[in-house]
Amino acid sequence: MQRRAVPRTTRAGFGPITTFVKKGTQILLALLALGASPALAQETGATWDNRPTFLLGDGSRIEIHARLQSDYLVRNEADPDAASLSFDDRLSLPRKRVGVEGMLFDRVAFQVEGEVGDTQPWRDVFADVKINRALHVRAGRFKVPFSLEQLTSGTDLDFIARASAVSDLSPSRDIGVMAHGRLADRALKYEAGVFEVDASSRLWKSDAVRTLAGRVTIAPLADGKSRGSDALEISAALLRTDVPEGRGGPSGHLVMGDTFFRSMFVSGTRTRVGASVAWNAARASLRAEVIRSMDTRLGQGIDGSDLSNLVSTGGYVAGLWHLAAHDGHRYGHAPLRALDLTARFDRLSFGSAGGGEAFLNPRADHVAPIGKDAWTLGVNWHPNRWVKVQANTVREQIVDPLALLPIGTTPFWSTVLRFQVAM
Amino acid sequence: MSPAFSIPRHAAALALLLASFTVPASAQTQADLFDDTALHTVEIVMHSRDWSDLHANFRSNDHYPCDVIWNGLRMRNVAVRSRGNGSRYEAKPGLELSFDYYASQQRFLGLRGLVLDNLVTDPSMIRESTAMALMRRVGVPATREAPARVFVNGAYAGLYMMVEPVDTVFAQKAFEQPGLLFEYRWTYPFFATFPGESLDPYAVLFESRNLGVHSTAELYTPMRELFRMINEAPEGAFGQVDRYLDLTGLVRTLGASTFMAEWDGVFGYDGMNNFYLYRTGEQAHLIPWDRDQAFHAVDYPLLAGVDQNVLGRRLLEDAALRAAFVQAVTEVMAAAQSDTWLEREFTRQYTLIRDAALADTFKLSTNDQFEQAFTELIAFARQRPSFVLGELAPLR
Repeated sequence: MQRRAVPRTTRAGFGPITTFVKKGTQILLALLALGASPALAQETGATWDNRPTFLLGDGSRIEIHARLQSDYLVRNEADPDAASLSFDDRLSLPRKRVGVEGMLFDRVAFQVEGEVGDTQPWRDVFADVKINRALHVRAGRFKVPFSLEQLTSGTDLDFIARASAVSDLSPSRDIGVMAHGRLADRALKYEAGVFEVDASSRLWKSDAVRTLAGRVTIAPLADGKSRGSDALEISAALLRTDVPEGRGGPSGHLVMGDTFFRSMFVSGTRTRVGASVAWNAARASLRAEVIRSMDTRLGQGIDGSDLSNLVSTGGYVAGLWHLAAHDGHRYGHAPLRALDLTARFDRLSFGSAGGGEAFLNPRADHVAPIGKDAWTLGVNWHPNRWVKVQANTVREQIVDPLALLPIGTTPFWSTVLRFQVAM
Repeated sequence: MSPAFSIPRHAAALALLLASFTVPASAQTQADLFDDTALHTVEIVMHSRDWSDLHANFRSNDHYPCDVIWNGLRMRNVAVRSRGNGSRYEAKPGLELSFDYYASQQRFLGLRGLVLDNLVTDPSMIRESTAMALMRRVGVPATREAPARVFVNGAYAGLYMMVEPVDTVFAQKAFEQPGLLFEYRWTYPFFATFPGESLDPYAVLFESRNLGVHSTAELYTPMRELFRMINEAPEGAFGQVDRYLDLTGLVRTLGASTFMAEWDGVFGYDGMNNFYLYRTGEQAHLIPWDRDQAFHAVDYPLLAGVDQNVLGRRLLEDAALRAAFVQAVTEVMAAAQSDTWLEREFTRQYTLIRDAALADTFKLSTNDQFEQAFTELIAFARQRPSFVLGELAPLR
């Protein structure tokens, strides 16, 4: 389940700026509503529900979303030139997104979101038709149901960067069709679909590469009258993807983007299995996830022979403590409002089952064990429901028992500050 | 996590190194590999698709894994890529073998890599190897070379020259101390003017070829000071440049290059080119590279390109350095003429490679051009000394 760090509904305002934004938006939407057709006028309107919202009648609404994230690089020991970077070079804007989402006739949910200024602007673009609670059908471009953390919106993450195992082993968005729903009094949630990898360039073509995906989540605890509470969720997922011949195996990256494990030649299929658990309490939460990816390498030896499967494994354990909590819809006392402390350990490793000498070349039968361990400590501060300030410091260490990599195994630190505005 | 993660790093690295050879390497040495009295055979085993891709993408530096077999030794876990600047050629790509690309500690006979020069820019195919041999003969730190027939997956890929790469292994051995190595990258006609206060232009011109992590400031601040000094050293005190650039070694190298009518080197016709700098402490040492344009013409002016180049012009304006340059040219000339060494060396190398060269259907030149080029080299060996003597007279 995607957990929101900020509740959606609102209480009193948060000062003159908020009031100004709300009033301004209401005036704008009221003007727009005046332009709507008379037939709809009685059922339509505009409101502010944490964001500009158009009411189009019973069961229909459209919400406008926008979010901006700005990162400031404080420290990066992996880059010897980081200390001399200018203020401008330390700043980046990883997300500048706008979009709409909504519901039509209480039956069709939809979302369209894009990245401003990106050559590949589209993010989520899908429609989701509700047949009944047990069966929804979603089609379009959206996240492949696999990893708990990957499925969590970047706006709602407890950490600035996702764990390496997630960012390097889990798929993000693809074009596909998915059935999903809740069963057993909401205690069981399922997602199953077929997706086309890199669909922007290959959609419907003969060399299309497809992923079959399935994910099951059990929420055994009760939430009011029914089960399905998000207090405890246990998930398992399975992906099977066609892998065309080429250097398309998984790669491993440091949190700042440097590659420590380069892609291997693969051919055949990629099978990924994952499991996760999420426990959410009033003052704290815990999450853990493991992912294992196995790539076949048919005919990829330097002499054309089959190689053993490339095995990529990773996972994390993450905890969050609400030092100053927002209780339900209420935020804590000024000036902190809401303040969280976070910690995470994550690991990512690569290898294979091949025999003989272990090498790192992309056609090695026995892939040398290479990995990375990372500790992340952080603080999340929510001065109000739209703004989040995060600070993360990460200690990363390469695991290279055969001393094959030139970068060594000395731990290095990086620190990033993030300022986020989202509505 | 794999149990292998508990293996002690150094023991594992040693085991990997030893396991990389199917035949014990102790019987072979670098001297055997670069024995230029023999025509060697090098076999490369690589995925057929990679060999096709390397040809198709011959302008890219993408690495491909391979095994290399030489003299009964099979080296595994080697990276091969297309190499060269003007010599990039799809039908017969120049190749660079990296023994440490996939394993930082891996070496082959103590080497981190090996260049297989495709020889396509020199119809005679022996200019560079002879030029390097002459420079070594007069004490210039120049790479060793030996000819080799190269086979890829069993098919003859042509006659190549095995060239000892200029890397930290070579430089540290040549100058007997650790330092920082830079390869000059021709990007525009550069004549040793002062590139400015920003370090960025120096990073463009001088590519770091060092292991480990170094900041831009560590790498290029002394480089900036070198070019500042070259341009701003007071009149009559150009010797101050020696603090940042080994002028003795430079003059010796220039003496050899100018005698050999090298027209694409430090004082090249289109700016500086084809050299490395190896910096130990503050002082950099020049290492020549890629002499396939040596022996350009008997009557190629000794000082061609010098006036255009700030370093060359100011160096020869200094009386003591000019005298040293004259002495260096004289010594190289003597070494070339002694027992007709240069003519005999041309003939020996030509004889050694002739059959393999004629059988090389991938080379750029024709067999007739190959024979003609040899004839021109013999003429150079016989006539160049008297021309150079005439050029030296006004410098004395």
